[in-house]
Amino acid sequence: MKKKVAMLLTAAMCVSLAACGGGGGDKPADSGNDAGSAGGTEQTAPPAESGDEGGDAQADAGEPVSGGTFTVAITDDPTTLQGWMVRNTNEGTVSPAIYETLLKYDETGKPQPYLLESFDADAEALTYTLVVKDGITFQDGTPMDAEAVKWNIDYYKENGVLSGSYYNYVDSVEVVDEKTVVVHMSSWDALFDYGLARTCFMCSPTAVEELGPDGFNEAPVGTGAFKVTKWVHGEGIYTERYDNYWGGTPYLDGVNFMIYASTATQQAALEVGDLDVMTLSGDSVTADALKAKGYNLTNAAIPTTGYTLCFNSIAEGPLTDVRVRQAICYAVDAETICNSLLGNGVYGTSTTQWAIPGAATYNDEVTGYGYDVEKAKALLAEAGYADGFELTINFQVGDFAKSVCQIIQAELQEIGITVTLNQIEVANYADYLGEWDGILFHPMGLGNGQFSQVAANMIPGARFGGSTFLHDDVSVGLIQEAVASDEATMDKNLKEAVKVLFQDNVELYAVAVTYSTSVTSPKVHGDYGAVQEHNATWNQLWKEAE
Amino acid sequence: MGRYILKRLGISVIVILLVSVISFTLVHMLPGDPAVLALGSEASEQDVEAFREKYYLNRPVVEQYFIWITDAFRGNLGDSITYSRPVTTCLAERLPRTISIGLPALILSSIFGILCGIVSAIRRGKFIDNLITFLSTIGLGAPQFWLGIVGIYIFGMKLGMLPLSGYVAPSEDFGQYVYYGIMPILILSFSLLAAVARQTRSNMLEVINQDYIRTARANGLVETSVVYKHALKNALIPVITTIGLQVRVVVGGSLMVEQVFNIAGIGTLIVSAINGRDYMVVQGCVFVISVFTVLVNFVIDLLYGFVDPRIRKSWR
Repeated sequence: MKKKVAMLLTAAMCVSLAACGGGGGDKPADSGNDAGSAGGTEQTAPPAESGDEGGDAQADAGEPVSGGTFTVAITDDPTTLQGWMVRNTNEGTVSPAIYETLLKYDETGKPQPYLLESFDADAEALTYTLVVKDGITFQDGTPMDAEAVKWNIDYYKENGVLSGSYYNYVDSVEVVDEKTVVVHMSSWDALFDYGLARTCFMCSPTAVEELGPDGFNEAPVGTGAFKVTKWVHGEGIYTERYDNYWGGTPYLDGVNFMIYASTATQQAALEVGDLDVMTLSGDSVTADALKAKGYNLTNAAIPTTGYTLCFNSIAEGPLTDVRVRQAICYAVDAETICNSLLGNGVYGTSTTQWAIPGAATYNDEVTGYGYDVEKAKALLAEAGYADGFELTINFQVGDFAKSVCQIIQAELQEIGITVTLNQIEVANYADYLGEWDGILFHPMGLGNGQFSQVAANMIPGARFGGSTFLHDDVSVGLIQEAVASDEATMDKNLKEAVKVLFQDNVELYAVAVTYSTSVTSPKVHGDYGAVQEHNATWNQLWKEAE
Repeated sequence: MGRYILKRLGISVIVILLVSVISFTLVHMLPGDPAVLALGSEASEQDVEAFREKYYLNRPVVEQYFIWITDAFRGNLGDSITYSRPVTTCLAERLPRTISIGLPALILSSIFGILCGIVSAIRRGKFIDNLITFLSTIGLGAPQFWLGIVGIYIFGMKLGMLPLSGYVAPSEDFGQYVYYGIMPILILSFSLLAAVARQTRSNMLEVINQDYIRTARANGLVETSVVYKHALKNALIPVITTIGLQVRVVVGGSLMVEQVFNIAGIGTLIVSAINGRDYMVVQGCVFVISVFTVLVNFVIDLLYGFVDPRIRKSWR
């Protein structure tokens, strides 16, 4: 009997291990990609450069075919589909298929006209002039014209979830003619275009007025390539193609956004063909496993997150000394951390700031601090801390953050600094954003670009680090002048501010920036997530026939 | 009997009120600002303040509770902080899914659990007893998510017999409901079945050795009559209690099963509400679950009387 029980237990354990292990050897029958090579759209170099690689691979797939449904994973029911309320990841995944923005980020992270023919700034006159492209209609057939733009900007200012942050300086919106709108600012906001590119999804004014905000939430109407047919709460959102889409009729019949709560269930669904795409961030283990099985991996050119050591530089203690902050930077081997945790830099990279080389906002003069333990020890001794000290590093719960902080803990021990790690629950994390003890290892969202984050966060009164950053006259002066200046001055000032914050004052130390990696079925072709996460060239996505 | 029922009903209302006070207090004690969580860290202070005002989050907790409980007894559980929709709507969407998985699981586990327990007790020490005991131990010890993942791997990915996840309402397509629901229902019922089987077995063993059972056998009654008419009836009360305790799964859902099989039921709703500090949804879910559980246990209390005449007598 004991033998039988032992055998049963062994069998159960084997099944369990096989189920949990991801089953390395299996490949989709038609993947055709070499697991070991950079096949498909997998990117092994910096993402902006390797986009062509994916394009070539996809060109070999043959002529696009119409039809089929593309299924995208979301982790929970979106909290809203009202364009003006969109803020979280799940609605951020769904919205780009339904809605579009007046401007859109290019590969360098710079906003470019999208639904607009032109976007002209006049800092002296405090006006932005927007000219809408011809032939764009909402999914209800109404025109996307100057009146619609005015209605949307007014509505966002009045009701938008981030109205206080992005539309504060909008004074009035004037319709000049059918296609032209002039936005009058009460005070100059050089980053207004970033706000329009990120948070201003064009909604059909007719639909909002006819359905009311609650009705519109269930049946949103934008200018996107796909229109919502059904939202089954707790299950997913179903769409069908919009035949009169201004960019050309989409190949796909529809795009469905289905809830798969965990990475494991998403992976399993992808492998049996229930799902066509899942998105990973900083999860090289799953990404590598899927890469080995022949799935196409695409990194977004615009990094998703900048994992940053944010120093409390003003509370009494060693961190007030810039030499101590420099010593900590010298003691952290960011490159090795990225190589070991982010697939040798495939899914993220070390950098010196909240941008990567090649990005419009990247400052070459910020050289950062290379790994040099001896220099770190010398700086600590010079600052009077040769015997080290005790320090707290706070971080939001998460596998990647925990691994990085544990490595940093060990590295700082080398120079005599004893680190206590404080893991913070997600719901509690917001309480730490204003003030923290020691260092906050913060995942700074980079979807909106380095300039936007520096301008919004590194000033007195900001909700992030309001009571911990130095907010010295130099950096604050540069930022304040930048947002009230023309584009050239803004660019110059904010780059200088980045140098002050990351290099001179060492208030921030970027350990790694991670890319959003879209994992798509080998049967899917076209751009999904190549420039920015969850964004696609929707009308050109196509899927091989079953 | 009427007095007894009234007394039990009174106690039930007090229990529901106490549960609502405790859950309201606990959820408000959790660190984290629901307004900031809902709006994100980029929202300005005036946006956050306006949000707090909308959901009475800037009022004292006691006042918030009284606003909520007054509305709750009028059938209004408030609006979800996260989804900006009535909590009753969220519950109406999720409850049928949870019940359509939980109820069959409870029925299956009750029937087969009692049967397994009886077989195990009357075949004590035999192979079938050892097998049932072994499987019950796995059912009680193995986490549901593990069983779910193993089930998905074998029946979904390797054999391709069953879908990996998903849900179809029985009202939509009963065949598809069975096809999608069979694995989660079986996994959920496995754990419940194990508890019922263990309880039945131990009670049956206790009863089977009683003098009156020996007397029944000595009087020449057939074994099935001894087991089902005399032994089982006396062993059933603790089993009914066990089943009664499992009833909360029917309405509260099993988070693990819902998570693994991607079923958007009450379990996943509560967890995402706790993570998002959606006080209204947490309160609404706890309220509905506690009302349901208290009512079921009230019915079970009445059931005891029908099973055991001694209890029935004590009501008079």
